[in-house]
Amino acid sequence: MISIDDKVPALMVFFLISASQLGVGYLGFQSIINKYAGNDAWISIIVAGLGVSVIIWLMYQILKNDKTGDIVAIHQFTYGKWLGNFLTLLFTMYLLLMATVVLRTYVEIIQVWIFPHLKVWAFLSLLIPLIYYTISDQFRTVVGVCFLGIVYPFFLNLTLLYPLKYADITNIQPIMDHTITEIMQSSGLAALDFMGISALLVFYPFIRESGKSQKYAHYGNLYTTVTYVIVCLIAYVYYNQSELENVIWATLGLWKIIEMPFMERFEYFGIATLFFTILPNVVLFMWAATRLVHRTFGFQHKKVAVVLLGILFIACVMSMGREGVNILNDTAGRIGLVFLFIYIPVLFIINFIRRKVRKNVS
Amino acid sequence: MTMKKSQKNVQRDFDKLLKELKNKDGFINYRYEHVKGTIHLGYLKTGVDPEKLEKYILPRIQDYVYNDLTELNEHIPFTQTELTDDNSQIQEKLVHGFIYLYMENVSPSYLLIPVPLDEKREVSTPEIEFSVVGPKEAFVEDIDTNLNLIRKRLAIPQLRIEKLEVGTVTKTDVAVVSIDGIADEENVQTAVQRIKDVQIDQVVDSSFIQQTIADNQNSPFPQLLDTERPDRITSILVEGKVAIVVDNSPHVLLGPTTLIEFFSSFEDYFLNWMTASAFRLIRLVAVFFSILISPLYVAVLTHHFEIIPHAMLVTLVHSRTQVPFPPILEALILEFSIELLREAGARLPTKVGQTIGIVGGIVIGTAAVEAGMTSNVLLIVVGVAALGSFTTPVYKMSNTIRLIRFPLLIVAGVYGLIGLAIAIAYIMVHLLRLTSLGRPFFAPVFPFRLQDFKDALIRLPFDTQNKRPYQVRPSKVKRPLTNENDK
Amino acid sequence: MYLKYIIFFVFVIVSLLFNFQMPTKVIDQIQTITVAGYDATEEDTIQETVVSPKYQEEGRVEDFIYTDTAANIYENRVNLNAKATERLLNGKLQVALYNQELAEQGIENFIEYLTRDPSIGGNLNLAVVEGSTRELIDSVTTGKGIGVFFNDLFEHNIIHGSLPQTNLKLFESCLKSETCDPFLPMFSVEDENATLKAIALFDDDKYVDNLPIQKANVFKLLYENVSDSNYQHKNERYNVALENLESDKDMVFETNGGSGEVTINVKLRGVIREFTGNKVTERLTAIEKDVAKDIEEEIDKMINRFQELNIDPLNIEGTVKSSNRDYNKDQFKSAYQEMPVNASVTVRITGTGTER
Repeated sequence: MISIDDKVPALMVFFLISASQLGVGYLGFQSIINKYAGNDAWISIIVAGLGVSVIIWLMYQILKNDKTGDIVAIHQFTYGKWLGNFLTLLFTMYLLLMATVVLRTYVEIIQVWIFPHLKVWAFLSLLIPLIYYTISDQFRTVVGVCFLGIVYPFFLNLTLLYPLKYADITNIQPIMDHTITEIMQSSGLAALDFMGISALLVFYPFIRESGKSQKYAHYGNLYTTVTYVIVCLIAYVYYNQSELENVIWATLGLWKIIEMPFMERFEYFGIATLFFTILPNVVLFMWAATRLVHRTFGFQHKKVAVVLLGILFIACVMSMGREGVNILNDTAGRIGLVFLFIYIPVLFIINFIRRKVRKNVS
Repeated sequence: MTMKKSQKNVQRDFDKLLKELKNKDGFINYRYEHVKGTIHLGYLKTGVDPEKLEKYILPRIQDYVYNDLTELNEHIPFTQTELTDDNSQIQEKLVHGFIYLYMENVSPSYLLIPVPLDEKREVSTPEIEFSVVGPKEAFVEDIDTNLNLIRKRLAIPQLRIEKLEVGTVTKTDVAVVSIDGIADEENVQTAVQRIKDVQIDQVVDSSFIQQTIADNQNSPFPQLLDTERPDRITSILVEGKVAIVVDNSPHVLLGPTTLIEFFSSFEDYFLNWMTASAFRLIRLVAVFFSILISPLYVAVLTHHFEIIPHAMLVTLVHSRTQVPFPPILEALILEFSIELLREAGARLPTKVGQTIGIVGGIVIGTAAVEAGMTSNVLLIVVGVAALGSFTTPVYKMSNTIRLIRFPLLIVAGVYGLIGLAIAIAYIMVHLLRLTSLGRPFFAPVFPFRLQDFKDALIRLPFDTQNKRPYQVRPSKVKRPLTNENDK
Repeated sequence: MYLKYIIFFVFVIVSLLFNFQMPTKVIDQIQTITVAGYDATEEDTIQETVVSPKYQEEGRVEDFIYTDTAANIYENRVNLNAKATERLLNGKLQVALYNQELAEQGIENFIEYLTRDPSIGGNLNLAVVEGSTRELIDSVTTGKGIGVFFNDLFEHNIIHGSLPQTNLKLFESCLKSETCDPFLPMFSVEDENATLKAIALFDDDKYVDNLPIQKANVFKLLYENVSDSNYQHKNERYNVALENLESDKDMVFETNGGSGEVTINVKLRGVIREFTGNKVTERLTAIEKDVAKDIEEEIDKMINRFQELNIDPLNIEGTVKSSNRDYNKDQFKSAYQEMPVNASVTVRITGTGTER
């Protein structure tokens, strides 16, 4: 059904997974996750990363046992046609919501840091054709954007070494000063920055030798986790905990201190470069949403893309201001948690039972 | 009886033909009374090589003994001669530089001999892709000479040449060259099929083919590399790529190619790998610099003064105090003038024109700065950017690079660094979607092929180049480096 | 087919057109503020002085100084903009000055806007001024601009002198932190010259005391690892000046029984540049001991003073908190003034210059 030319090597799963996870969260997760675990919140990231690894394993268990191997087929198999399609539609809306959150948050950052007078709708009309151009063709293009979205901004991580000059190790000591419960509570918040992996349920059939790609998915998750932990640790030794309470975008704050002979105020450059981290998120979610609608209802891929991008455009313009962005983030976060850690295991179990039943019948 | 009658018809046809041809400019027909009968010899004066005619054909007609044209044909030292009774094709043949011999009352009564006037340039040194070291031969405007230049370097039986004819009016010869057993059959077929599908009336240069068989014709990027160096063509054939030779064009196309290949000069292979790699990197940096530096200037000066260090701020502000325009307009004007100079230089007849253009640029630039029309920092920026674009070895690509700067400038003027990032993303996605003969154009960056990087951004030594680039899907990936493997 | 391209271009062009009127900050159409000074005035207002350089021909910088008074900083900006030829912007702010009177009232409210504004970097220098900030700014005579003047003055004193690392980021960190009290350099006008005079000590955001700049090198030893500092020791037998000092600082908290004890270990390496005695090479060990003892005494005095003032610029509480899981804020607060803080200094002289 999907031609071999459309498929991508298993290695690309690494980039797809980490590109879908690293996004706007990267800029300010440090001051969100420390709500419960304080200076130990970086441990929560490791916990969250492990949790997500388990979810990836579950996803692969579900996907491997299906011929088509995507969420549409699995939903139809598990719940029957009507309920299955309904759930797929919900999932599509969730993907759309995530794309909106990412895009809107990025626009919000631009508004706060660079262009307070930006007309959001006009700015988006520059981005929407780009997203359409990426998702309307082969999946290969989306993967390419994800790949470059990991490789190209990689050097940004190196610039974060500079703020270590102001590091104060006492800010994270004593380590493990918080209870396990607190760390677990914080991991719940940290898991929000890993949400993007749900796109795996859609792009799985596009992977060559998809069954063998699981290790790359875990490596990708590992890469994300390590990046988050490092960025988090740097922020936690740079800021003290009470300072973090007031900071919205801690990572951007780290760049504020960098001065180079040819460039001061690295964050302006950083925000621009981060576009290459944001873009993979948006295009991957939008592609996945488009693909799901295409698979479920059989509409033409390009037409679906146009409609969904229209929805994305309107949703982004409607959610105005910090308040609106916050509501979006919270909603997406809550749905994401339920989806990843409750729905996926439930789906796994029901799917497992259905398969057993089907086998016994035949 | 029937024979006689048909001969009569032939005679009548010939008279008709003669009447038609009389009106043609430069048509010559003269009669020669041979022992066996009257012989007519006719040709178009402009298309025929008189030297060959006098040296090889006339003496044979007059002095040799023969009964009919079939016997005469055996004495004529030319291939592709034709014996016929039918004169419907003759007009067309004459245009191609044939002469006809007509013998009355004998069958076959026409003998067509090709004696075309070969107006061709001598094989000369490459002018566009000049290199200090290495071979000094370049392709010329003749397809046979060009094919011969390739064959000379690749004297192997596996060399495959597929000839096609393109152009409904010009009927230009196009040859697809590849090496059997190395080149991927699919690539060759793609090239052949696309050339067959071309719908065009004229092909006067390989650029016509280059544009009509491009995977995406609405792309500013050339998707087939053109070169005038036979050595380069030989080298890429051995790598498993496909060459397309077009008659009347000194540029031979090659594909499937990649973006990075456009920035490699063939001289890179004549130098030690370290020097070659260094130069290649410099070239790539120059390209990035060339594309990004003036948009960066505009973005930073219009929207992000915060990122300018204090020491630089003094210079920048000072240089701009006299300038009446906003940075975006200033940059557009200056970029436009540079393009103007280049275009003027290109239209001037000699290479001196280019030099004069640059000198004129300096004079105008200095005057513009002194008059306060533009800032001298921008003049440096734009000058360096122009210089950077000229380092690209392939002319068509360097044009693209210079043009691509204008949209970037405008977006940077409105959206600053963010706009620049978005514009780069547009180019990036476009490159990701682009293919060359159906193979990804952005390789080896994406699809990521680590082993193809050995000859991309840098060129590693020859003993590491033991595999052909995966990009072209060669039939044999391994390069036989020793003769045992050759069997 | 071409409809696709037309729609595409319409989108892009609409986008560019509608944001084209976005306010720009073209560098020659703005005035960057390099120095901002704040003075306390009577009533509920604040006086702000800003310095904005204009770049004249041949790299000459002329500073424009504007002063006005208003209830808050941005209201003041309105007044100042009324005087400036171009828009005043914060983006290249290098120094913010606060006069002593204002600092005594607390400066948190005037720091707040610096961190809220995304265009202001973390490397901004803050300082307290004895007297009026306007007076200090007026006293500077320089061809490179007042902002650069102060910036350079800070920079070389931090890297090679006895001023500890200080900037907006560190001040802010310390201010927000629950464990630490900030400090700032303090300027005054002496003989019509702007002079780095002391280190101003704060209790939370309120100025309480200062430490003369001559003693600041000891403070610096305690505050951070020094890479190029100096120390002068004098006793009845000889004078010695140590230069190129490098140090390693290590603060340890130990509990033995109920009350804790903090020990500050400082290891110093340096060379002798001035020595009034003779045969210096034979007396190195003695000199090392003398200097170490001298520094220890200075440290004791300094820390006693901090404890008396109940301030903690060295972030001793931070050390205690980070190395003690039973840390309790109230308990520490009550014990701090009586807490034994020991200094142990070791000095190693690595060279004596070109003479024996």
